[in-house]
Amino acid sequence: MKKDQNKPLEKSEHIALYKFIHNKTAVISAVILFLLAAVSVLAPVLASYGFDTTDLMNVRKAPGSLHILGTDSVGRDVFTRILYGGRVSILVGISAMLIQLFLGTLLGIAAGYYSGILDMIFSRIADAIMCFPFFVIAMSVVAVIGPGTFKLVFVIGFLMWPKLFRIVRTEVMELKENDYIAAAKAMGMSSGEIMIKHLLPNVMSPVLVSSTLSVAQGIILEASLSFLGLGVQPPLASWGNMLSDAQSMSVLANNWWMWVPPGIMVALTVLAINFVGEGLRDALDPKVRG
Amino acid sequence: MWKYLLKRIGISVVILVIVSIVIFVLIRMQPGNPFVGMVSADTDPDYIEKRMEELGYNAPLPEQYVKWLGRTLKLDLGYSLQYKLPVAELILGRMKNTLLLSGTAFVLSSFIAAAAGVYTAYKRKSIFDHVITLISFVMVSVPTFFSALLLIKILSFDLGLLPPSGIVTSGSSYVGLERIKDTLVHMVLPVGILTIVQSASMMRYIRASMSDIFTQDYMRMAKAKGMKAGRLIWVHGFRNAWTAVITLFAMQFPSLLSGAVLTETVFVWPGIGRLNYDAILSQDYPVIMGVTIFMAVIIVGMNLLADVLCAVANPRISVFRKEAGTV
Repeated sequence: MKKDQNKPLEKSEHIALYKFIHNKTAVISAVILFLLAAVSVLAPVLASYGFDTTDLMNVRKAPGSLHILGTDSVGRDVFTRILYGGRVSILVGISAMLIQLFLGTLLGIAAGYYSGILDMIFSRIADAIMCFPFFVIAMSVVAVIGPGTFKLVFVIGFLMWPKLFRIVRTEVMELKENDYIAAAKAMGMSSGEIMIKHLLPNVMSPVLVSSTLSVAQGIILEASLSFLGLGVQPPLASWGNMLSDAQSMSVLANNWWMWVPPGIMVALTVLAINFVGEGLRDALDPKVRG
Repeated sequence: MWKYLLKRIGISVVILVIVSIVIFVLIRMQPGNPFVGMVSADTDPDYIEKRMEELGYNAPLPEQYVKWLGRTLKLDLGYSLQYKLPVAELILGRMKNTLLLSGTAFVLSSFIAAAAGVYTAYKRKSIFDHVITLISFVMVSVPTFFSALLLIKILSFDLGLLPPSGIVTSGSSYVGLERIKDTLVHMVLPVGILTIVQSASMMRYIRASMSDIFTQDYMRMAKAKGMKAGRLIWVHGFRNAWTAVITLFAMQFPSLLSGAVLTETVFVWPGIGRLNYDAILSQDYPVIMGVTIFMAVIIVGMNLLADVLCAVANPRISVFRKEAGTV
């Protein structure tokens, strides 16, 4: 976990690692995230039921010895579905982040470096995407292309990249004024080389922080869209579509075990990711002294 | 300054054009044809085909786009399949409920966020600062609809204090003051949730920009000269955060409307958000697209307004532009 987060860092940034390790909240959060991920990966081993095994004799059963967290409306074990749901929710968050990372960094560096017409085009597209309220445009897109896990990942990824794009673009615009870029140009380095060797490593810190936070964002968006029935479709479990059971007033009022646990899992995961993200920001930002 | 404003207006127009193309593409991709809801089911298919040909349904895409844009500009957004009403009329009818909900939440959260943000920045590292910062951190991490569900469960179902959903008690026929009272009671939960979530995220920005200002030399100077805290904070400090605050409010607006969509859905509040959700459930495409266009236009308008206000509030913009213009 720890190694992963700091992989893109340069040697000189051992200080960052030191700062991060001494940030208790961030470290505890990282440990919690590691456990959550491990539990989700090991779902088939840990769960005593299948995620889609229905038990019609025990429908909407309160937590008991047979089902630790009770069963849902068709008698599926809630605890089992929480474990499997974690896989889907976290994976959706991470995959959507990778799309944003790719689009945001690539277009951001290009727009910042070349400026002019290219910047104009990318920036206006980013502005246009950002001026749709997320849920409104996401709902229209899903209404047209239909719901599904992969589509959900693409919808989140393609609608959320402008945030990262703006960060990278602004950062690159400042960076390219530096003398070492001029020197690199004078030495005959190609634009591609300058972007990959000089600009990319220097925007890594804000990109890392922003990507971490966007995983959290992705998990919230998955939960929200699946809650509305527009994301991950049953029988596949995700924390969001488990929460959609609470759309029924009677479940909301009487069967707390069906929707409170997945909600708490989302909140816990997102909170932990956000703490890690903030920890990374503090550790990587030379302006913040610990 | 005029040059600056003209430039911003130009950019807004460009954004609107991109937005309209995106929506046009979505409309073209939607299943079925736009006349399904307008004609009775037993109409001769050949006749529909002929009429559609006449209306230019099979015309080249750019031509269709221009025609569609023309109709949209005249607020002709088509007919709702579900309600058999013009979409524009439907949206405007629901708009007042959304405004009531989001507007109240926006005003409340602006005041709370400004007060809490400025105070925590002023008293950095105090217990109050830590507690508020932690709470706001938790609030932005918990999905809005989950907090809403928890509140409904606890306050409405378990304690029976507040109605769980709707805008008025169903089946009631209150008039005048009674009705207003009834609506206010129904507003408490949805407005409360929106306010808490909005102020949490706005507060974080205000705290950050005020923290920068409080470390400036002129602020320390003013403090050293013995200026009273109130004047120091609000006249010298907050005034300089104005542009940041205006930009922030404009930035928050999309998320407020976005949050309202979910909140309205959870609380069955008859606003645009709920209208959109119902439209999706019943595959009422004209309404879905109408709401999307409407929201996008509002937000582009808000962003433009923010640019204008920033230009007015920040004299540096006009000076800077003038200098840049002479070069």
